[in-house]
Parts: sequence; structure tokens; C-alpha cells
Amino acid sequence: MKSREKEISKIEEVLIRFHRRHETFQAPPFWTERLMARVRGEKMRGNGFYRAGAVVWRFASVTCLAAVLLALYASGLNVETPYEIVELMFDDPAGLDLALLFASL
Amino acid sequence: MAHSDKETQDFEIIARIMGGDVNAFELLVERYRPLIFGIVMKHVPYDRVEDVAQESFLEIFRSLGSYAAKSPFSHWLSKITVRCCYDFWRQHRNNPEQVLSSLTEDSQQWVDTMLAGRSRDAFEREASGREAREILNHAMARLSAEDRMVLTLVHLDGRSVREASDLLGWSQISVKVRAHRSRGKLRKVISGLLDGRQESI
Repeated sequence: MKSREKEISKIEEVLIRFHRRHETFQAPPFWTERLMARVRGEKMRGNGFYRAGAVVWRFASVTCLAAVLLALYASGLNVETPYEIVELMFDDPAGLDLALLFASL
Repeated sequence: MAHSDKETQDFEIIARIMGGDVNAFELLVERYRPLIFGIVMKHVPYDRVEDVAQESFLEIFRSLGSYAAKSPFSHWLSKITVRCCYDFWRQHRNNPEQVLSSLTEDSQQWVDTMLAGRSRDAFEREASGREAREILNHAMARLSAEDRMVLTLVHLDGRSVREASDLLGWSQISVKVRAHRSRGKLRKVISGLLDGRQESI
């Protein structure tokens, strides 16, 4: 039993030595060129996506603030139903009522 | 934190890439190609090294914006590369093409030679043979992607549990348990190999 363990350890040691031997990999010709072509494609996709995302998030806080102000304004007008809120928004396409609200703040 | 010249140059290149000069990424590729190939070679089959290395560099490029310079850049690259190798094995887990290899007669003979007790030189020479690769692949093919990664990092590469857990992003306990279990499996495969040898005698 002990000699079997010894044999296993011996083979194991050789396999570890095999794994740790120094070996270099010769990249095939045009490997870097192919990689860079993919990277440039990645950049175009990536940048477009990230730029769109950045624009959306930049306006997110402004949009939230506008929604809160609109809700406050709507509550001051005693409008209660969603229908009335929509009507208010559509009846004020130029945002004059909102502009007046901001002017009074 | 003081940075070496190499790190300072890396930061300059990264800044150029982040500023839109994508071609500067080629400078990073040239600087770190040996490191990335060195890691990938130890984890995936030889004929897949160039593909996995490309995927690793692409992932590095995609993640460049998240590099916070808290650890050396080479360490950050190593982490991404090791995880790409793990992804490779996860994707090939159920690949029917990856049949469990059976060993040739040469491998059995090689085991006999190893156990015959030769000189140190012969030992070193035999350790670089085709048969050693065959046996290692044969054993590894019987392991899960997780066990394979841990066995390679801890047992074969000789890294610490802490280092391996950092590279893989797993807990140290998980790595420790897997390291112990996967080593047991490797020894079991070797034991099976010795049984086969005895049966053929």
C-alpha cells in the first residue's frame, strides 16, 4: 500500500515538472493584426453604447426633478386623476404654465 | 503608492487608450503578450492558446475603464486571463467533441520507465515528453472546469490558496476544498494507470 502511494507520488512529481517546464508560445503571423482589428470593432460598438448610456444618465436626474416639480405643481392645481395630469401637459405644449411656476419660485 | 517605470508607462498608455487612441492598445499587447500566453498555455490545449489569448486581450480592452490601479497592472491582467481560461472550460464542459482520451501503449511504457528509477537527467528528459502531456490531459479530462482550474493553479503551478482564490475570485475555503478534492482525483487517475499497467504485465 505504501509502495503504491510512493509510485503515485513519483508519477505526480513528473507531471508537475512537465507542467512547470519553461515553454514559449510562438504567436502565428498576423495574430496581433487580427486582434487589433477586433479591438477597433469593439471600440466602435463599445463607444456608441457607452456614449448613449452616458447621455441617458446625464438627463436622468433632470428628468426626475422635473417630474417632482410637475407633481407638486399638479397638486397645487387640485388635479387628481392621471387623465387630468395628461390633459394639463397636452394643453400646455409650450410649457408656459410650467415656466410661470418656475418664475414664481 | 510608488509606481515603477513600467507601471508609469502602463498608466500613460491606458490614459491614451481611454482618451480614444485605440491603437495604443497594441503597445500593451506587445508588453504583456508573453505573460498572457504564458498563463493561457498552462490552462488550455495547445491548439486553442491563440484563440483564448485573443479573447483575454479583448476582455482586457473592454474592462480597461474599470482598472483602478489598486493592484499592479500585470496582476489585474492575470486575473482576467485566468477567468477567460475558466470560461473556456465552462463552455467546453458538455462539448461532445471533447471525448475522454484513452492512453496509448507508449504512455503505459512511460509509466514503467518513470518507476524504474533512472538518473536525474533521464528523469528530467522524460518529464518533457509527449507521454507526460498525454497522461496529464487524460487526467484533466476527468475533472470539472472548477477542479481543473484549481488543480492547475495550486497543485501544478504551485501558487498559494490565497493567490488562486484572488485570481479566480472565489473564497479561500472553496479553493482549499477543491484543491484537496482535485488532487485526490488526479492521484486516483494515476492509480488507475498503475492498475492498468499491472494488468498488462
